[in-house]
Amino acid sequence: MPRTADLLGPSKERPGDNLGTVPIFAQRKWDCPPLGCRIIPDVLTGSLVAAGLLAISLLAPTEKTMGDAQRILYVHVAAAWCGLAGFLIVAASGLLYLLRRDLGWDHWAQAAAEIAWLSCGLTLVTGSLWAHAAWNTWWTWEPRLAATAILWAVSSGYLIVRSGVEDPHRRARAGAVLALVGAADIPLVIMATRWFRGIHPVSPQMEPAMRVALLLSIVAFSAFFGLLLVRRRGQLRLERLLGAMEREADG
Amino acid sequence: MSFPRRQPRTASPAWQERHKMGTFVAAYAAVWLAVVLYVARLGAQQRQLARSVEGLQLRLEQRDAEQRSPSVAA
Repeated sequence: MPRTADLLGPSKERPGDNLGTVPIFAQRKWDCPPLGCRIIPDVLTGSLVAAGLLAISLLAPTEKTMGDAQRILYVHVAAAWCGLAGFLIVAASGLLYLLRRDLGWDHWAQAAAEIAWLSCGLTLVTGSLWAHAAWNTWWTWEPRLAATAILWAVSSGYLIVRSGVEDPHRRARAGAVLALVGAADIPLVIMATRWFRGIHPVSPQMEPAMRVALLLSIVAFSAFFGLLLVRRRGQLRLERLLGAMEREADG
Repeated sequence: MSFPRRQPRTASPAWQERHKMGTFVAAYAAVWLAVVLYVARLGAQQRQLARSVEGLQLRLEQRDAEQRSPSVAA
């Protein structure tokens, strides 16, 4: 695949290239040598994920009551963390878009919304499997479960609303407003176990080896979803750039 | 007509252990399936972008060649 830099040539000022303020590491991505910038993050993330899997399977001891089913916790908590962080990025990017009217932030918001939707969905699925093993029910309208389901529904709505609007600025505006409204659910998800009486564990006591496995799992998930976020955002930027260049080529 | 009563799930400790391991495996399979599907979608979009870039490059080259040819003839 030809690099964007090859198409753009040496000049940085091109019509349609007003892609907004983006972090330096993301701007330089397309100009870096492939081995330097593309392989190393992949290898590091892959190693972290492998280390996380090994820690969950081998390092973490088997829990007495739930047995191996308790190991779901390590991936469930990590997915929940990524979902919350992802939606926080959506809301923050939406706010920055509204303040600066810069579509660069909207690309971050869309990429983060996809990650948040995926992570929230995985949180619900793994939580449901855990609940069946622990509480003998697939689902219960417990405050934290309900708040997480609402967050997943909001991220689904966010993606659906975006897909229905053609104009990029209108799409970004609608998405930003929806994300800011939906972000009100984030403190509810975090504090639900403290504010309301429910059956979801607050912060269970764990052995040090379990804590290490959980921490490693969270770090591995964050790195992996972070990498996906950066790659997806790069795709969105390239899509917009290509659209602008095609319009220019059509005359 | 009556059906025989289903065996309770806690029939034997060995079955229980297998069930717990099955739940763990199901959760991990769900996670990895979702991740693989999302990454495959990203890959498909990347290939589509690559085709668009190549198409655009070709069009720009053709346009340049067309613009150059009258001047050569002149």
